[in-house]
Amino acid sequence: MTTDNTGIPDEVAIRIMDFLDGEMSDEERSAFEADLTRDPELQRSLEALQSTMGVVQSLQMKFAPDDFVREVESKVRTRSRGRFFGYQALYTSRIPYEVFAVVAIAIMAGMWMMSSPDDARFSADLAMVSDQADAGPAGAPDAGASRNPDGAGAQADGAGAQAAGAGLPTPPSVRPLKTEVIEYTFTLPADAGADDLDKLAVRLGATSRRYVVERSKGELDVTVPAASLDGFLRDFGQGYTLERKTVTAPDGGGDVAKVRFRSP
Amino acid sequence: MTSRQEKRLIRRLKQRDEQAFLTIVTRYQHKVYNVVYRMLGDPHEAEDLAQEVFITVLKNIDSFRGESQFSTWLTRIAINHSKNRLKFLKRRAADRMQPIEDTPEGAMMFNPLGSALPRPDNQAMGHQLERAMQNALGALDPEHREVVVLRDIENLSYQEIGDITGLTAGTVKSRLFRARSALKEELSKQYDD
Repeated sequence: MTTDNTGIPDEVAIRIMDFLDGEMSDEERSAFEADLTRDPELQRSLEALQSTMGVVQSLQMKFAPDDFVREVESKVRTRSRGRFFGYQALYTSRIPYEVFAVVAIAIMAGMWMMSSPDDARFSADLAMVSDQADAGPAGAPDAGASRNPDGAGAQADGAGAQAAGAGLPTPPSVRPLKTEVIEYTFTLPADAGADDLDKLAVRLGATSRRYVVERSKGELDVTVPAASLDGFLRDFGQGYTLERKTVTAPDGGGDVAKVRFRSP
Repeated sequence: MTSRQEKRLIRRLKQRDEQAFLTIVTRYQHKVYNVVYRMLGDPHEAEDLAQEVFITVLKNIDSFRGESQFSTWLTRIAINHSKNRLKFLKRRAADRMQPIEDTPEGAMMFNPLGSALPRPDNQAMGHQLERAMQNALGALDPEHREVVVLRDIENLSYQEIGDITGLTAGTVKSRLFRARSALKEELSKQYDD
């Protein structure tokens, strides 16, 4: 049992509070009112408490200053430096890094494009040669046979994209490497004669000294610097059927591609 | 604001939605400020502390599990901050050898009326009473002050006060009785002077 300088025990204090709060049953209330009439000191205490309660409850509400919300917002931002809120973080921390990343990617892409103009041309040339190989000359075997002259056949057909590339010139991913030799074999049209190879040899020799031309019976082998391969294919690869292409890595293989033109 | 709206608001706040936070600050600013002001008795301290209350809400919103009403949780933070600030002010005054009367709390405790109280011919009686009551509140110890503020100023139920203070309803009632008795004594002293 607790008392203080009022000398009133907890039980009595709770009864008084219940009476003031109207939380007594009728019986309890009647009993308490009887106690009040018998005890003038209790009566005075009760009245004093009631008046005190009245004064406290009459206190006006104190309102926060007008700029309170703004001040809180400012304090949060200052302390968190934008970490508390999503969009704050977006604008204060993420965006600069994202912008930096985009700019860096753009610069790298630009540098790559400027440094490999031949690659783009090479790809275009290959596509052109590929189209010709697919279409084939008049009277040539059907497209499927043309794509799979080595009988890569069903295996290649089932391999989807790989199959499509089986009879095509080197895709960009296997563009000439310094240790590889790329070999192309073109078959001249069926109505071409032996002198067509001679003419081609003359034409090649007249065009550039960079091409090493070797004439043998029914064949014309040309060694082309790999860097010039795309231009070569553009200038001389048109009108012929691409019969075979292999990529090898011979010992001492260098920066060259070998192209063979063969009579039908 | 309905309970559902409030829950949605709190969910957004947990997702660090600034607009939700500002809505909560706007909605509860006066309630928090009033509680803190009545506990501290100084408008500048009250403003600063009320701001801290909302920052605490933001930092700890993830720990609010909705077992009590949000306003109850918020008031508990405000009361705890106030009691801590009162302790701090008292300790600071002691460390600095500063007369406790010079602190906001001390001004209320030791100079309930005195020269700080405006002269009756200059101020309305209501203002005097308000000042006297605030000074009397400041003279109570923090445990008594909190139950008076929560019950008589914030009109909370005994259950809500119990949730905030961790006391049983019976203890809240008896403590409130003694707090009111002490308040009555303080007011009597002031007017007797």
